[in-house]
Amino acid sequence: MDGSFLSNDNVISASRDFVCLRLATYEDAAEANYLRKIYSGRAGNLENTVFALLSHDGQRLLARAGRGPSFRSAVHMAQKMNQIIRAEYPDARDHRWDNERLPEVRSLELAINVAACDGLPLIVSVGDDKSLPQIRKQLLPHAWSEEFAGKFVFASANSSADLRPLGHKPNNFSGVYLVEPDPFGLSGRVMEKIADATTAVDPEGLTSMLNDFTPPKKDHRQHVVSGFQFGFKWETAIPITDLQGIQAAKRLWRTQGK
Amino acid sequence: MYRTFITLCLLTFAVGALEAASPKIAWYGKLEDGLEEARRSNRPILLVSAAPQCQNVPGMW
Repeated sequence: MDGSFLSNDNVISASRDFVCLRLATYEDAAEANYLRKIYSGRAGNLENTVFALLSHDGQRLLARAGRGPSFRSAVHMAQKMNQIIRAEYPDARDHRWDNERLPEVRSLELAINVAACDGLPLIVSVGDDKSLPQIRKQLLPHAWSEEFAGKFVFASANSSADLRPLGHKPNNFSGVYLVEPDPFGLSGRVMEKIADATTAVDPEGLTSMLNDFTPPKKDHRQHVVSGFQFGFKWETAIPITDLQGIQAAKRLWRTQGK
Repeated sequence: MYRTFITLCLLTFAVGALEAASPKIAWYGKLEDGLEEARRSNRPILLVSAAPQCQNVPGMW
């Protein structure tokens, strides 16, 4: 998928009136079933990437779905999005920042990988069933603000097993932690604790952390070659069904007998 | 030499700050969360799915 569309200023601006949903392909069976109904390959298979603009109930296509945006340009895509809002959802702007859920990735392990792909830091909420809702509530206004929207990947953990990708359990279990992913998204380094159930998140502190965070510059080909040489292989939750992807991975890993 | 070093440090900080300041799309990461929010707020959905691995090597879309 052409990522340049999704980093275009006009598209980002238009996206503020949408609920933006990015799933990790092949990481959840129920999501895969849903995606396959939205768009599938010629053989009915789920491909690596899917793109769609959908109605609020997630059932009706508002533009042609495909592996990526089929618009002539990012500007045309933004125009279409704005047109949808004017024609069908004129009150969408009223809800821009009143989201009621944190934009969390399904697991900490997956979130670290996603953060590495995005070159973003993670904010991880850690607590038990009692403290996690309170911690999440603290983060909501920051996660959904023009200042911080989309600049962190979010995840939560409520057990020692969940925290395994961090390599260690934070001393005082409950709280909010800033985590730096390694370049291959297989582990995360706890940079600091930024809040807990009783102390508020400091927005100036978040800004400072963002300014200090420098993700590694990655070359696509070099990253894949290095990952292969180190033996860093990601096991998806469900089998990959993108035919080109399968062929390419087989060619790469054949020599390691994997 | 010292001035060059300071200039380089300031430039690096400036580039980092610019990158941090540039807006980004805010994504829900779970289908149920995004669908619930879209229904609740009556807003349309921008849906994207991508594999966080390339030829099974993680850390790259």
